[in-house]
Amino acid sequence: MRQGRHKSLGSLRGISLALAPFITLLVESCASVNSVSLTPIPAQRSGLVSATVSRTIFLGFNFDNDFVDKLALDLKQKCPGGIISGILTKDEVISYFLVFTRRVTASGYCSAAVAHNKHSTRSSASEDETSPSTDD
Amino acid sequence: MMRVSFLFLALSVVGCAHSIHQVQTSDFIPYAPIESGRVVKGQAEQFAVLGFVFDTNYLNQAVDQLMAACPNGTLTGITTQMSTSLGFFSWTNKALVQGLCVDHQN
Repeated sequence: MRQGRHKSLGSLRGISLALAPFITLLVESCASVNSVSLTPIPAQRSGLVSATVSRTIFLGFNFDNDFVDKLALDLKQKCPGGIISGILTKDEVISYFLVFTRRVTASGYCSAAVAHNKHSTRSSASEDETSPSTDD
Repeated sequence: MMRVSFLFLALSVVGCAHSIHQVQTSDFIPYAPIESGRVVKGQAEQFAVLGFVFDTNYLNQAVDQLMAACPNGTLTGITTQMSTSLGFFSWTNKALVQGLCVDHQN
């Protein structure tokens, strides 16, 4: 009886050891960058806003890239009535076992439209004017 | 045969492949003459062994470095360069961002 229990524990340990690499592969992820772009950065860098879209793809089966389309709109909605500049757009892939996630992140500085147009007076614009909604 | 194998081994150990993947240039807005500003840059690297890297934060470090080099000015005409230098079973991801820093007093 005791010997049988010892044997089953041993086989359980063997299975755990065999599964460990697969579990590690499933949990671990590798990241890589596809593309990056950066637009002119303003002198006054307050009111950081950002938006992210992503899609998880299994075995590469992906039939459109429409998920990216709403990124610009999402970002704009976080800066109503203002101008976003210094936009850093990062397109990256996070790979898991058999699955990968495509993630596009855009972040920029939201400033009031009037202050942005009058470039020379922007530095004197108040903090309230230049930082509408932020998510950070 | 031995010599050829040795040559390939030597090449793979030395690692001489450098490739650029992407270059992007932004607008020069607001317009400023080149002479009115100074070129500043930010760069960062990430070492990857067999592709096992878990984030892409080195890019943000490069951008932060760029902004730190121009704390009170506007950065225009920003170029972004992404490249890789290959090594033995490893490579280095590199990000280089450069821009024209135009201070407000100019």
